[in-house]
Amino acid sequence: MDYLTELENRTVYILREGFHLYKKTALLWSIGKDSTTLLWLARKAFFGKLPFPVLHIDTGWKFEEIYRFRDEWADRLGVDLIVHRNEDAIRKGVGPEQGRFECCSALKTEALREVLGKYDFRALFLGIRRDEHGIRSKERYFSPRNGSFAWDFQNQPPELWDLYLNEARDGEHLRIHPLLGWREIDIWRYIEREHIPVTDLYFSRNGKRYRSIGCEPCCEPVPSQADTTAGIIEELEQTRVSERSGRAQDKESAYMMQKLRSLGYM
Amino acid sequence: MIKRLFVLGIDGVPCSLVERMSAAGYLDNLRELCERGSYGPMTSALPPVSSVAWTTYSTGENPGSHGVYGFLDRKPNPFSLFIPLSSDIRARSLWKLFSEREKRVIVVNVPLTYPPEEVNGIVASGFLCPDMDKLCFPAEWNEFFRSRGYVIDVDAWKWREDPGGFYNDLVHAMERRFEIAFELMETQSWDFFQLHVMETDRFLHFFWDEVEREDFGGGARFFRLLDDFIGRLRERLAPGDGLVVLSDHGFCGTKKKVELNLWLEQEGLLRFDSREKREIRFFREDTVCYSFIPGRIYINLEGREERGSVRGSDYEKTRRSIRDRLLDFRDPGTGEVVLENVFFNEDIYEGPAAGQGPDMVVLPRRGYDLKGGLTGEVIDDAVIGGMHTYDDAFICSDSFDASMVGSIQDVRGALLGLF
Repeated sequence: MDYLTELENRTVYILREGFHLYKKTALLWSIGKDSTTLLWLARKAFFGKLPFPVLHIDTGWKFEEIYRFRDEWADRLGVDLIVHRNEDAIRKGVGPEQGRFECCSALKTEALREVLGKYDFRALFLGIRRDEHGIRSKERYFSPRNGSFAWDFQNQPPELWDLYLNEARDGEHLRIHPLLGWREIDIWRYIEREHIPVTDLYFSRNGKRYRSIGCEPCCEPVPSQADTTAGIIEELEQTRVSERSGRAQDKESAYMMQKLRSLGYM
Repeated sequence: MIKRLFVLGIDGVPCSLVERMSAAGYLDNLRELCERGSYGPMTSALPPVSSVAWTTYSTGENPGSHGVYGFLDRKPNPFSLFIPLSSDIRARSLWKLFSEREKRVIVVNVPLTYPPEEVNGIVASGFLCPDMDKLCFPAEWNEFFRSRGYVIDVDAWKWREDPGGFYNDLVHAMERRFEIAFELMETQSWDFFQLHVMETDRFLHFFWDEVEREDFGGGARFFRLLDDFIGRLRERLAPGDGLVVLSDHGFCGTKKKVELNLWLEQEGLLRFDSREKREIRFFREDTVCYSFIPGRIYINLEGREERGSVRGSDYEKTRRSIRDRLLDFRDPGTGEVVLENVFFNEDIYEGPAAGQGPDMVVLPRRGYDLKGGLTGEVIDDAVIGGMHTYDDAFICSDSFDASMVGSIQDVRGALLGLF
């Protein structure tokens, strides 16, 4: 079996097990390439009809293209889409200028907390990958969060083969990461193989493309000539720069500024 | 005289916290070092931030000589912002000096060592280094640090989304630093070794609430781990080696964050054109002064600043009047005085780079964290739980009387006396 099919099988397996155990689940769709791939795989896992809703946490700061893409493809794929915004914070004008901590906390974390409470979801499917970010290498396929969303990373049992931790205690919700073992390049190869739609933001325009997308003020494009999926795969086969470097900006001083801002030193 | 010298920097750890945690039994190795040798509190640099304080330590000079006043600085004419790097330091570092005396030095992760300086030995730079490929002098060592999983710095944005993950990052980064240092201690020859732990500062910024609890909360586990590494470090030193452990500033809980620029604006001292972007570099020409973190105030002086409007003949009067108003600044919520002290440039700085420094430096009362933003409220609830203090930095040593060290600027002199 080729390795993409192997990855696909594992993801499908986790999606089905997760849904079977929790029923009250949702798939968190950021409209980025990873969660869109996850959505695609979920449709495969459940033969075209998702048994759970798809959840988009809208900060109000997303790229125009993201909103357009979301509405078009939610419709075309026939998913049950829940869009949730922390209206309170948006009304108060919370944005990245007041500090990214506060912004993310109000518009993402708090919004997610609200919607989990509202629908009483027991588990969420997320499209995170282990190679994305240093700390994510510690993530598990099934990752419990407590009522205050803290992740007790030292108190998670090892995952040996398919003996996953899969019982969430009361007040906790479980995060399930069916794409954990995928790398960035695997995602692109799979997108290419399956012709999965992704937003145009990923493709080069004027010598730049977004390698990772989220809220517009906090994303920076990276220099790239890749204007097709095949072109992206070819570039990734040669690159050593980390995927999130675009978010951390491409210039040294911009990187340092961000670093200092993260510490409240600027 | 000693054979070799090891300096361990534990960024931001207050002397008073070492005392409290030692008494509670969480810092047995460090306590033993303090008891067998000596220890004491010392003052930091002004302003008390790591880039200024560690440069003051490594050069033995005040900012008026070494030229580093903060993480962000400005060139007045034409007005531009820049981030001071090791190449901006105008005095000779300790490791450069030792190198010239043909001692072999290893310096790992010390703030403001990027880009890494040419030394007789190895420098692996610290938290402003943007790229593992630019980490070391000599560059051949980049691969070694990469292969051992060296972490330049943790990503503090993570704390907001995922405090548990952020804590885990801190532990991991600290563990990698010590393991790498242990390996270098064994495999390399060295006369002077400085290992810097940045994670203590990050822990205290983001988890200050923990150490304020009677049982120290998550701080107990974190500092016990640090102490275990100190124990293992001591085992690896040979008879005749000296060990110094020090921090660069103290810490306290943040009660409020204070946007000093908003206060200046409210007082009519900092002005913006409503058609321009509200950024420091676009202040209006009739601005009297502006501020950089933490508490550095620059007069918009004619002849020095690009759009200078305060006449030289009014400079003294202006500074005095601003100082009086600053000292009257009260927290509207509690009526409490916000600022402890206001220094003039010449009170605290001396040397060829003094003119590049701020005209005034403000030291806040404990708990009022001075920021430089231009949005929000003048005084608001703090987002980050811990803030630096000028007093209560820590030093201990088995080789000289650390209790006699008054400020971080004196430490270099004490070290030079050792060998």
